[in-house]
Formats: sequence, C-alpha cells, structure tokens
Amino acid sequence: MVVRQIANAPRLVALDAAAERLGLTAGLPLADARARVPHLAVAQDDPAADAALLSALASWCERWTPFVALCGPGDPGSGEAAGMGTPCDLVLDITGCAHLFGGEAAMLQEVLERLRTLGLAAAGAVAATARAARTLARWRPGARPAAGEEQALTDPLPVAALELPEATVRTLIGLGLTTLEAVRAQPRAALAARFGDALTGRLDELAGHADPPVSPLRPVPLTLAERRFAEPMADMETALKVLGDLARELCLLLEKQGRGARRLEAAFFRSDGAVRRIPAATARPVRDAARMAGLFREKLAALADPLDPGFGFDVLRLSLLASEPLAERQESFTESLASGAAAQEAAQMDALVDILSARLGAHRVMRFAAHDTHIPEAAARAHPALAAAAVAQPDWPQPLPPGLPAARPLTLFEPPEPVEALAEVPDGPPLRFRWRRALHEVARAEGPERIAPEWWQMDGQGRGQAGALTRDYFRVEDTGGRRFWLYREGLYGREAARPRWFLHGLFA
Amino acid sequence: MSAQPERAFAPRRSLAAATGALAFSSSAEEPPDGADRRASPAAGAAPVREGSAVPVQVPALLSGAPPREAGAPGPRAWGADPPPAVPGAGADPASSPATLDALRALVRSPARAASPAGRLLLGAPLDAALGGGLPRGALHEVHGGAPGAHGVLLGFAAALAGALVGGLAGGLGGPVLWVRQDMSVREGGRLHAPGCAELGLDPDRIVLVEAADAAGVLRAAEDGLRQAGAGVVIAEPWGAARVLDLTATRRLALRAAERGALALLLRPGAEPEPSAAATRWHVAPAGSASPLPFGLGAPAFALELARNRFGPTGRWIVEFDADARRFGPLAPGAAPSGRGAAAARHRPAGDHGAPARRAAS
Repeated sequence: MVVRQIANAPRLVALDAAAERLGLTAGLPLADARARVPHLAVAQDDPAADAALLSALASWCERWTPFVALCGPGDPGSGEAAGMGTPCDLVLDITGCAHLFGGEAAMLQEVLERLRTLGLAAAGAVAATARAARTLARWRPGARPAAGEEQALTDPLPVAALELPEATVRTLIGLGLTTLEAVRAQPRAALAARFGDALTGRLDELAGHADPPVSPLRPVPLTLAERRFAEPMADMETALKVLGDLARELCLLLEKQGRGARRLEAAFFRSDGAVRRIPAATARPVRDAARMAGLFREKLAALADPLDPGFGFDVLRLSLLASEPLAERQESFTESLASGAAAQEAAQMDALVDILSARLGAHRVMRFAAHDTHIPEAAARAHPALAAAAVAQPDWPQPLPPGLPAARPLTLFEPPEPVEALAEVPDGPPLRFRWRRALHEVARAEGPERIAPEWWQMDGQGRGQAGALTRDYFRVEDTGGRRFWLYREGLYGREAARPRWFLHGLFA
Repeated sequence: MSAQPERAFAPRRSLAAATGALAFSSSAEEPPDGADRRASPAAGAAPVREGSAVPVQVPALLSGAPPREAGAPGPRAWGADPPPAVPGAGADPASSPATLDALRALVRSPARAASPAGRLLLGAPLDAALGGGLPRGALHEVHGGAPGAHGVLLGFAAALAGALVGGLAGGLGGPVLWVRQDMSVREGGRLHAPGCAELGLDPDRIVLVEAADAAGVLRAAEDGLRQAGAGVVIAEPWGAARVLDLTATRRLALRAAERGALALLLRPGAEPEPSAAATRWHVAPAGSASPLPFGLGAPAFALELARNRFGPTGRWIVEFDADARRFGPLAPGAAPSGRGAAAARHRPAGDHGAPARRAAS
C-alpha cells in the first residue's frame, strides 16, 4: 500500500489485491484506512524511483524492439499532455518484429512472462494504435483484436477509458453516455462542438482510425546487429568477441549503403533486467570492424564503473546511431605514390584519436582551430578531435616577419592569473611583479600591445563580453631570462581607477 | 634565383634520372638540348615541362634517400645519360603548378634536411656533440620547467617538433602527438596555437591529449608511438612518477626505434632518474640577446646535454631561429642580459629556495 501527501493528509494512491479485498480504495485518507484496518503496511510514495524503474524497464524492453516509448494518460496527441499525470505505460512498436518471437500471441506471452519473472504485475494487449493497446491492456488485459476489431472490443468500455479530464467524464456520465458505444452513437459534429477535438480524437484512436505519432524513449538506431544467447553468457572476453562479430555484420550492411559509422552504441542486456549501454564515436566515418571492436574494448576498459556481467548477458546489440557517406575511392597510381604515405598516416592518426577519445573522453583529445578574432584566448581554441572535422576554421594568422621574436606566448593560463605588479609610470610596463608568490624583477619589456574588447559586443558602459575591459599587453623578460605575457586590465581614469595586472601566458 | 641554386639543384638531378627511365620505356624522342639545360641552373621552370616524371620522383625523396650536396660528386646521371625532355608525354598543365609547389615544399622541408640517416639537424654547436644531429628513432628526455620557466621547456619541445615536421609554410613528417598531464597544464598553462606557430610548429599537426595521471600519459604516448603515424610524440608527465621507471622508458625507447619517430619525454618538476633515454637535456631560460636595450630577442635557451649516448656532454647558451628552425649561438656582442643566463643555470629555482639541481650523469 502506497500513500502520498495530498492536501495535507496522507492518502492512499495505490493498493495491492489484498487491500482491495478489505474494501479499501485509492484516494482514502490514511487515517480512515487505519481506522478500518489497523495493521496496514504502508510505504511512502516515491515518484522519482517509480520513474527510474519504469525507464529502466523501458530500456530493458528494447530487447524486443528498438522502438519503446513511455506513455501516460496525456499523450499521445491532444493538448492536455502536460500535467495529465506521469507516464505509466510502456508502449512497444512491434511492427515487423512479432514474427521474430513466434507471432503476436507468443510475443505478448513472452513479454509478460519475463516481466513477471522480474517480480512485477503486468498486463498487456496488442492493438493497431498505441492508445488502443494501452486502453485494452488496462480494461481487457490480454486482448489481441484483429485489424478492424478494435471498435467492437472497446464499445462496452466505460467513458473513463477515454482518459479525458474528470470534468468531461462527469459531464458525459451526466448526459447518460456511460459507455463508449453510447458516445459513438452521438453525432460526431455535436460531440466535437461540445467537448472539443480531444474526445473525437480519442475515439478515433481507440477505433484504430487515427494513430498520432509516439516518440520513442531513445532514438531508433539506423541499423542494428544483435546476438541472442540461449544461455546467459558471463564471460567478458566472449562478449567482446561477439561484439566483433556484430561489428562485422554491421560493416557488411554499411558497405552496401556506401556509408561509414560515426556514432555507435553497444547494449548489454543482462538476464536480470539491467541494461548497460556503451556509446562510442569516431573522428571520421569508419567501416572497419576491427577498429569498431577496438573502440569498445577501450571504452569498456576505461569505464569508471566496470561492466558487471552479473548472471550473464542474454542479448548483445550493436546499434548504429549516426553514419556518414564513405565512398570507396580509388587513387590513381601517381597520386597514391605521392599522397599514399600521408593518407595512411592520417588514417592511423584517426584511429589513434578514436582510441584515445574512447579511453580518456572526447574532450581530452583535442586539435587546434583558429577563430577570427583578436581576443587572444578566443583566437585559438582546442576542440575535441572527434568533432574537429565539423569546425570550420580560417587559416592561422601568419607569424611576424622573419627575425622578429614571437608576439604570442606558447602557453596561456585560463583564466589569467592575477599578479601584483609595480610599474614605473602608470601606462608603462611593470618594474617588478609577484606571481605565485615569487618576485620577478623585469629586465626587459616590450609593449604595450593594446587589445580592446570587440566593439560590436560592447554594452553601454564600454565593456565587452563578460565585462571585459581594454587590456594593455606587455612581453616581459625577468632577470632570470623567463618570459611572460602580462597585461594591465582597464585604462587609467577611463575604465578603472586602479587597473589590475594579470599574467596571461608564458613565452618560450 | 641567385640565392636558390643549390637548393633547387639537388632535386633536379634525381628528377632527371627518373625521367630518363620513363622516357626509355615509352620510346620518347631524341633529347633536344640536354647539354644546354644541364649547364644553366635555372631550375625553376624545368619540373613544369616534365610533368609526367614528377610524381615518380617524389617518393624517392620521401623514402629518405640522402640528398646529395650540390657540389659533391655523386653518381651523375647527367653525363652519361642526358635527360630527354619529353614535351608532350604526360605534361599536365593543370597539375604542373601544384606539383611544382609540392616540389618546392619538399625542397624546403626540414624533414628532407633531417634525412641524413634519420637525424634531425639542430644547428651547428649541438649537432657536433650529437654526432650529426639528434637521432629520430629514439627517446630523448628533457628536464626543466622550474617555477616560471615552464614555457622554456615547452618551447624547446615545440622547437624540436617543429624542426622535424615543419610549420605553417608546409613540410613533411607526420602529426605531433602531445600528451600532457593535467598537473602540468595547471602549472604551465594550456598550449596556445599561435605561439606554437611562431616557434615553427604548425598547430594543425598537433593532436593534444590530456591525461589525469602519469600512467595515462605514458599509455597514450606508447599508443601513439606504436600505432599511429605520428612523427613526434611528446609525453609530459608532471613531477616524480613511480611509473616512469627504467622499464617504462625502455619501452618508449623501443617503440620509438621501431617507428623511427622522435619521442620526447618532458620531465617538468622531476629530478633525473635512471632512464633508457638516448639523451638527457636540461633546459633553462637564458637572457635575451637583443642588442637593443628594450625589446625581446629570439627565444634563448641555456641548454645542458647531461647525458649523451652519441658523444660528449656539454653546455650551450643558444637562441632559436624559428624561421630556419635551427639553434644558433647567442647573437654576438650582446651578452645575456645581466646575470640572466648564469642565474638561470645555477639557480633554476632560486626564487623559491629550492635546492639547485645537480647535474645528472
């Protein structure tokens, strides 16, 4: 028995069969229920845990079809989706899947059987539309109407089955329309005029005439390859080997389509209901089974929370989430001589980037991209190498003419580190400065190089993005020969009363 | 043209040899005026006319055949077999300028200059001690990076990498895999691409990897040496790391030797320990050599070659010419600013009272 705090009083929201036999009903205040039956076992309602369980179940149900959705009374379709209760039903689109499990009846049987083994009470139905299936599962569990039979089967159901707002249901009953058959007998135009499109829409859905789209919980993969085991398989090495086989199957499909994989996902369905999904991405389209398998090997080795086979996996699935055209290309003889080595190097580097990204995380393997701005920290950014191909980049600014020393430091601190600096004249270079507690005497200085915030991004007070001020940069060498890039933030008098000094980078 | 003749001359000869072979198999016409063209070193236009031969000649350079000196007596294909100019055969006007550009890039490329027996030329004083340049298929250990001097350590690595793979102007050699430990990033800052470009290292060639610990750095670097076509692998773990023992460095050295890649192991904040590296360097900042009282000169390094399998150890104060990608002696006449270099060498962490570094064997 589950209670929830409603209007300052704990009320029953869900009960088991034994409680129902005692005459308790949902909505009853807990105090009243206790008065009738003193020894009630009560649990507090936990919507978050419910949602988590349902979502885990949905994930697990993907063993039957890649299209699994969570539906509540509100959806699918019509306006009142928001606020009409939480999703509470699992909808599996089994179009084209049923024959794999011995037909609809056998499939329904298997799904319910497996849910029951997990210790859940489940009821199911198969119908032409998501709403019809959900309604029948509630009111006529096990129903499996043939095409066109939905209307006959739903006719005797009470109007509550329409899952419309309570006021509408009460009005319908007040009008004497207690069953769906009675409602359907009314002229459609009048119903629509009185109750809006929602009512007629629901009726159509229940009759199998309309089927508004249901969005799946997870994007449906483009292609997938899977292996089912007769007995749960608990050996990780074997699992990886099977993953390699699946990758080969996927590559055959990809080859026919002339495409290569960019994003993949391996799903490990454990026999006890847990599902673990491992995504992997590649820098360029890949159609090499060994590379795919290698990626997953790295990913699995790098997991902070290692994959636990538990009692074993019974389904392994490799899904293709994104692909890109990858044409076979034949190089001419001379071309291959000239660029073959370079192309091979690039391919090997891509493979390395994929592997390292899989092991360390995509954000830790980077390539540089130039940006068209003069703000130093924005002019060159390191992007994840996996996404680098997508970043359009201008050319690198040409270095200064030969003979001149570097204008930009080799490293930048993000964010710039504040220093205490002493300057001879207000606008001049610093005489000495203290950085990280060490005092540096300036021997040589070059500057200032004034970098103002970009005027097109300034606000009314003359400040750039995030309150940036004008910076006067100095290239500075201390008596030890160390070279620093310092700047003074703000112009004396105009932007700041006491400009602050920062150390932004180190030169070679 | 007068400044270029030696540079342009060397490839032309091997080009001619290849052309000869092609011409015989395709029974070309009589060479019109081989002797005349041989005499004039007006090299620029010649490859354009012999478009068909150009791609054949490229791999000969790629494979690392030592380029002949301009004046050295080599196996001269010229005298015995004058190059038949084949005006029509395969001359592709569309591809010729591109090919010419590629050739020029090859001629200029530092990788070609570095090709003598897989060594990387660093500049006269260092090359002599190393016995003709820094060996490529080997592990080199670089210490340094005292507080505030991290930039010099990174700059030395970037300069070496740039000398091998080239800068924005083009070049050969594969990508540069630079693996940094998070702690090192915090201490020394993030790599700034324009700064790399100014040290002569093309930022587009850099693949930057950040790992949380020294073991991750080592593993990524070893993968890079084993698997990828990286020309340079730079590993930058921070401080003393137990995983960086003799075995680990030997593994790196072996992988580098297998691939012929240049492996640099930067050791910021670490004391020298036994390692399998071929050379060990200590890098410290040196004062600018600019003759003017203001302004900074070229990057200057106080280098110490503390361990050298190929010759004597030594100490130099050098500055790096990013355009030629060579180290040279500090500009004469300009003593290192004040006590700069000396302070840098003898008191690397002086500001912090840390013990001065001992020269490692």
